[in-house]
Amino acid sequence: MRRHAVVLAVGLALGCGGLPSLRPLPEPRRSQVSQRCRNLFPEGSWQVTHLVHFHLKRGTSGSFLGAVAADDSGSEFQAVMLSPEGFTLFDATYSPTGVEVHRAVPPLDATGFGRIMLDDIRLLLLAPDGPLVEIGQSESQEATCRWQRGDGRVVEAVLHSPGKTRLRLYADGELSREALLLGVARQRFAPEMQLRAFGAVGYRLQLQLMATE
Amino acid sequence: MVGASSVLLASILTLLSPVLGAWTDDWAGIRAAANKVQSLQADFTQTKHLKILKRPIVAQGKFYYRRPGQIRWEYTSPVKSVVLLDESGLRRYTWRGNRWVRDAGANLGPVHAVLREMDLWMRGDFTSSKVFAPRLEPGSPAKIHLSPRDAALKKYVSGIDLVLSSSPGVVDRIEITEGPGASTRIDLQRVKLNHRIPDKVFESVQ
Repeated sequence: MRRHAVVLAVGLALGCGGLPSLRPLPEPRRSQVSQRCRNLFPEGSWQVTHLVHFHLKRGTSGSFLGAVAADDSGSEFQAVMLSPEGFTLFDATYSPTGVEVHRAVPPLDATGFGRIMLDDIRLLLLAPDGPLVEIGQSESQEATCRWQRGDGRVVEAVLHSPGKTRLRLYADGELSREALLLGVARQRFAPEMQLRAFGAVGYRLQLQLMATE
Repeated sequence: MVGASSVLLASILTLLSPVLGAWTDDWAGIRAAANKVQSLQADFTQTKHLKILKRPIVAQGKFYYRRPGQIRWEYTSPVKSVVLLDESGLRRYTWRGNRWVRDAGANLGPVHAVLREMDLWMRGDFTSSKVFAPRLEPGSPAKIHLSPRDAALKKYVSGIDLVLSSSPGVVDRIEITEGPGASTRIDLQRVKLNHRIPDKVFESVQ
């Protein structure tokens, strides 16, 4: 109980980017929600392939295959984008020390593309690299968790139902990304994910799970 | 009696074929064999190997070609997508939300450069390509190795091998090497030569 109070206090101190506070949950509900939030993300080393449809704000759209492989650390992964014909369009590695782009076919070689893409993968597939600072109930009565990531941004998971979870990424209190994880997860991978990026370069991604290892 | 003669003739021709030469012996033979192909359709299996994946990504599809220069390169799984190529250019469609959607504005130069070369390959015209330098490797099976001429393209495709069939004008397999840790193998099966292919196959994604 005391530990929970400390975590809550840390969460409030960090402020979660000025987000509305969550209503505390009684035990054992709180522990159950905490566990469900932790179970949202795969653990250990894993590989996954998705069919990805993208739609950019300015009208460009298309599809590609995405393959991601993570190592045991849970913080490093390599991501490859393939054209439907199997050509490697983009290949990069993420680690806490930075992003290394191995291959980027124009126009995917634009500055910042790699970081943005890998950041989306982090949000969808990797447990946030920071403490779970808030667990509670939102104004709409939904169980919610918040993590404070190492880069200062806040990840929020709203557990709508066992087959529907909403992830939000906040940067400086502003909503930067929102994702829906839909369907009953296979090895913790949702069968379908929809991501929306806000801001000047807005876009939407729809990911359909193909295979996991 | 006529039947026995035909069998005997066929046997003699088979035995002599190494002496008489195969269609894959030189560029002229390859061009001549390709010139007899008015249309081709085949199923294919594409196996994509990536260093980061334990298992390859396997795709299935259908390929259609008709002279002069109409191609339909269709994937039926896991992604439903179609590339249509003719004199007007290249169009790609993907099946999304229960309908075909044309990929808009996603011009991926190196990918399109390779796809556009397919028309030349089907005509047996490898030597006039401005994109790839060809090298014929006779043998059984014979191979045509294509090296990108352009240093920019070489960054994305280090080489392409076309493994030729014993049937004149037919390619059995395409192997695309992108670099260390990434390669694609496309095996053609159930190849039909010079069958009538309806116009709509090349004109419409449906």
